Amino acid sequence: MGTPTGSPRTSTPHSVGRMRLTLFLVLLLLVALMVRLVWIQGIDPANAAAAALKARTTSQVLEPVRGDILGADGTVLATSIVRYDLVVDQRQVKAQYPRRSEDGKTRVTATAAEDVDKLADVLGLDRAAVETAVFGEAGKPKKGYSVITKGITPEAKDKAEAVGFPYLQAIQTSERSYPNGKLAGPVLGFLKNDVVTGDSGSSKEVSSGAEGLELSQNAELSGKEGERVYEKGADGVRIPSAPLTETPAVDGKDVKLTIDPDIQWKAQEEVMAQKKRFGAEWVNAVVMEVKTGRILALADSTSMDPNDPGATEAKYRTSTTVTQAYEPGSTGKLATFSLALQKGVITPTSEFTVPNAYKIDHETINDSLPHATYEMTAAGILARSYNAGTVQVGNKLSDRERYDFMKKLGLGTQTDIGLDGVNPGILVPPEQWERRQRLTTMFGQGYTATTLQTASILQTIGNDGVRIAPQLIDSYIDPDGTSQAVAPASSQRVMSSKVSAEMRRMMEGVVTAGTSTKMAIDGYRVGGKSGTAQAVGAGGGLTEHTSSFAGMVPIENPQYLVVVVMQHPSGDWQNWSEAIPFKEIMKSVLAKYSVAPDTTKPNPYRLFVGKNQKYAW
Amino acid sequence: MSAQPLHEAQAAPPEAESPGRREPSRTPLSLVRPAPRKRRRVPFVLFCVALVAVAVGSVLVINVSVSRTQYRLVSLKAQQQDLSQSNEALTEDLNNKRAPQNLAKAAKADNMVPGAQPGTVDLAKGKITQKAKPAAADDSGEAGEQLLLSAPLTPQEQAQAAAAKQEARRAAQQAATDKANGTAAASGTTQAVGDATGDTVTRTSSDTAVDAADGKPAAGKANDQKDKGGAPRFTPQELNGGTLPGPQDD
Repeated sequence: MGTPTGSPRTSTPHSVGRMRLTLFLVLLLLVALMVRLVWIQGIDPANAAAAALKARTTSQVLEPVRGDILGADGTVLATSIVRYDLVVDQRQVKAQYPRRSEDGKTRVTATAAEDVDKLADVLGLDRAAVETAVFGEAGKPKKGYSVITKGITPEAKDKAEAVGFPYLQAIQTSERSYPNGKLAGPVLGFLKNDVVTGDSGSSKEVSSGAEGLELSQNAELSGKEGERVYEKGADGVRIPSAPLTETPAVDGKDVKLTIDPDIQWKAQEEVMAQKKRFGAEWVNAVVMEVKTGRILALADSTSMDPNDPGATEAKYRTSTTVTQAYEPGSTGKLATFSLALQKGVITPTSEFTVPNAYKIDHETINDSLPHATYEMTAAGILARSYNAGTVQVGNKLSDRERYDFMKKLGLGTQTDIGLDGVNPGILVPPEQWERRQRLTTMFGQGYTATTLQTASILQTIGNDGVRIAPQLIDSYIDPDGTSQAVAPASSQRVMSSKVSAEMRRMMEGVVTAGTSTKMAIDGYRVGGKSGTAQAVGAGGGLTEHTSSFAGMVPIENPQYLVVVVMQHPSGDWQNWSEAIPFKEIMKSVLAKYSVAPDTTKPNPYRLFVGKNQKYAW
Repeated sequence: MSAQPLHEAQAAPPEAESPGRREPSRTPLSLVRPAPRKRRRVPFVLFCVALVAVAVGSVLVINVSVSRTQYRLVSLKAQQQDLSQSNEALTEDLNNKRAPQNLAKAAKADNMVPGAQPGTVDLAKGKITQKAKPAAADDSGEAGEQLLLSAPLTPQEQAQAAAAKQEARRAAQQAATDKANGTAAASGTTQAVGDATGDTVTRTSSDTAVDAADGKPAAGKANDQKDKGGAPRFTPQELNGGTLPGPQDD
């Protein structure tokens, strides 16, 4: 070598140039890369990052649990239960696969065919159907989502999973269950499934109420969906480090009713027996607490089981107590007499001459049975339910007065008890009342009303003249347990306290000496009013009847009222009587709520003028 | 250490070149024992090894404990699932037995009859104001008659009924597709076939509230949707580039 240590000229100019060129090129590439990087990631004109984020981000809907419907004592009337759907991806199914043997010691090869057979056995399903579901049909494309069975219990799902078929998927679903079957079925209603298409084009199965309380209270029962937004990779697994936002689902509120399941059961049993007894089209009953308007029972003779609504006729999928309006008949006399007392045009002991047929204004009003002309008190006319006497009383009032009073009592008006489809009945304005109709409306014909409306009239008379709108829903219970009581219905004074007392005493006369002596209950003072209305039959003429009785106990200070209505009974009208259902239902109410027997004696008004009170019917 | 032999090697050649001449003052070279550096290194190495061992060991222990806890978590979750399942099943059973119809049936089976009028004791006066009446024997009134209101189905019976309905529906669909043979759309035909059990076989989104004939209670909150033909329809979001929606993270 020999070169002294000095200038480090170890490379030729050419090498330096080449190196510099290479360096320059590399730097150029780097800069280009950098620019591109800044362009794509920094400036991002195509919003690639946002698009990628959108593709990664999934939102999962968290389903809320639907609220329960409870009876007054907390009995569960409707609830949601966990069920499973068994599905399989047909495209994944292989004919053979390895598996651990039962003792876990060796690996065996299991065949799909065997497992499918076992599955069919365990689930109790048709073998061919299960095979079709798992393997698909010949010549048809394989499905990614093939349903083997829907809505099986968790126990059955465990048994199915125990078979060990690896391609079986169990998907959890929720099902609505009504543990008491037909008890209050029409009042509870049922659910339906709808396929709802969202804005993004995705379709979803949504269940909502179809009838009854499930429909009318759907908003409270449904709750609110929650959402979980997270990012997941192409394989579907959640990216742990990515942000996760979760809005929890708000479960639905429980709806607590005023219905007493025991009384409801008794009432349903009795109206069913009554229907059999008289071959009626339907029989219904309403049980109500007089002082509060709370409904204890809405009973129908034909009730739907909400677990299987399709098995019942559409008419009986809702409660006839609120949907069926009919001409009430003689229970309508209560309105006429109350108003007459209120206006002071009569007193309970006012005297009237009551013939068998009464001619007024070119119309003849007949009584149901021919009888001699009697001198009777107003109380007597009500007790014996003589139309001929009633029109004399009613004629002392103007049509407008009667119409306004009937509206105040809730007739022809919508009653809001938290149910849809409540029939307001038909009560046309008095200007439209034709000649006969203005007379027939005095005794409960010429307008229509539901059983609930009749019960409400009785409640008004029984509650010292103060009407409290009927109440079906007691409270709403939040998912955390706080109970929000429904504000008690507004009360309205419809008649004076004195009139209420007089009416009740007159109604006692109906039971002690009038049309409803069979309604007497040992140890209690009963008061009420019977009704036998003419109804339109199948042929269009007035060939049918609606027979009813509305009563309350104890009459001097009523606690509970029961109305029983029988539509289109068969046989002789004189045999018709709601005595058995009324007494049985009322006795069970009195027993359950420990209503003390009366210590006072019945005290009705005299029915007839003069000393003699015994007259033939 | 490596420097020294070289030094000696470099020192050697000058002597070889002039063997006769002798350098006057030459440091006698002697083998010097190297410093005992080995002893200082052992603890350090050991320390390093120990450190690594401890690090790896603690990671292992943590992993093992996390895994064990994870297994425990999974097993406890499974236990919880089991318990809540059996709780639900028992509650369903209880609610069924509690239904008034079943209570009345059980009472009747025990030859019980409804009570008659209860007696009343006036505590203020200290006397019986109403005598209790004896209950009527089975022959009078309602007591002798059959219970009319049908009892609700037990959960097992309910499940069987649902399964039977599915069977009927499937059979009806089968019959419909066999009949149609590709002419009419599947939905139209299945609607035409109608009820085996009084329910319409399929639902479209158009017949909603009014058609209460298919009143099957809600089964649906399936995570996947399918249209009437049975072929699945998933949104591109769900598929996320795949062919099946990924497992739900729950």
